[in-house]
Amino acid sequence: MWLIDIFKELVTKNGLVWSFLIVGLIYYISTYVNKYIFREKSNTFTIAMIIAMIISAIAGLYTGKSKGLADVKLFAGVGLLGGAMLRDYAIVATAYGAKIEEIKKGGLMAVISLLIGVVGSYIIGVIIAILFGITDVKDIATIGAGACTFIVGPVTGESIGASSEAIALSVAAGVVKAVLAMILIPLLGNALKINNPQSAMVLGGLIGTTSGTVAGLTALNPALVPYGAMTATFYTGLGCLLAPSVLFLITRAIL
Amino acid sequence: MEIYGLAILTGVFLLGEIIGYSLGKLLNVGDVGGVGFAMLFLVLLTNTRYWNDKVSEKTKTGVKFVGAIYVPIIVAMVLQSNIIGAFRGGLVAFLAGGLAVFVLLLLTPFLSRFAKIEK
Repeated sequence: MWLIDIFKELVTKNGLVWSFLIVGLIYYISTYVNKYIFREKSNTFTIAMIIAMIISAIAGLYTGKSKGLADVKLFAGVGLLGGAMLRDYAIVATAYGAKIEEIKKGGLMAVISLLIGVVGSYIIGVIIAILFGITDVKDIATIGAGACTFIVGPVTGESIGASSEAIALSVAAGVVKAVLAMILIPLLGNALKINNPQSAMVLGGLIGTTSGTVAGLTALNPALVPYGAMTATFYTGLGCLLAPSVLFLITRAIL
Repeated sequence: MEIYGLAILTGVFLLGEIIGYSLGKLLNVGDVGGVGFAMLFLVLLTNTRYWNDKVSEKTKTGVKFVGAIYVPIIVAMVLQSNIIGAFRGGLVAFLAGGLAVFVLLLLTPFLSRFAKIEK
């Protein structure tokens, strides 16, 4: 029908603007789900995130590609709104209102937690890889790097020359980490006393995956986002620095 | 004007990214904390007396606006996350990535206790 054709043409032409409507609708539905199904025990953002995950999974199954809803031609604008450019620009803006004193108080511990976060994730990844019978040390190190973030994994794998299977696994490990961080941080945050700027900075350093940390903290307590995000954004760089060099050499010496 | 807020934000964003990418070039990796540096600059700028006394409300509204739309941006980010890829990696990927989050998450309260002693 001609009306549908015009509509299709319009939404592909105006992708970014169209995506405001899509996200707005998801948000609107989420407030009602929260109100009537969860009786306001959850929060709108968490539910919006879960709905978004489900939509993204369905879209991923449908297209067989890696970018969720953004790979569906009609919804490509979502890729623009949620892409790295606007995401990073908006994360910077969340720092508005953050206090210098709080950052100073948490500064040293944030640096230490960054180191523990990168090295700890790497070790966990390496142990799992060995337990699953992977023998090539380059592949083992790559999966260890993937347990840091889905960027550190392939960067490490390519620089030390790991197999393409190991690189794919490392990306998957990093993606699992991001998704689970989104779910676990709001779920366990209160029990783990993540309720002040310093603990958010430590969390950002330990978990590192920016998307997961930021989404998780937003669901837990939006006021903590700037502190967690600030340390988390150093994590991938540090991982890309340490994993293919020091950490790989130590792993090779031990194994 | 509101656009000044957006422009200032772009300024600190680019400044932070320049530092992040320069550091990255120096160390032979991609970007080392560009966004983190940018956030630090924004905090430093907005905590000055000049910002509080001289900058107009409208300019501040511009910055606040971007901070406010970051929540829908994160929803859009989740909309394009690779959920299926996370499952396709199988048990190795699931345990490596999953335990890395879980174990380190449990460490958070211990390390943040030290952060409090620091003051």
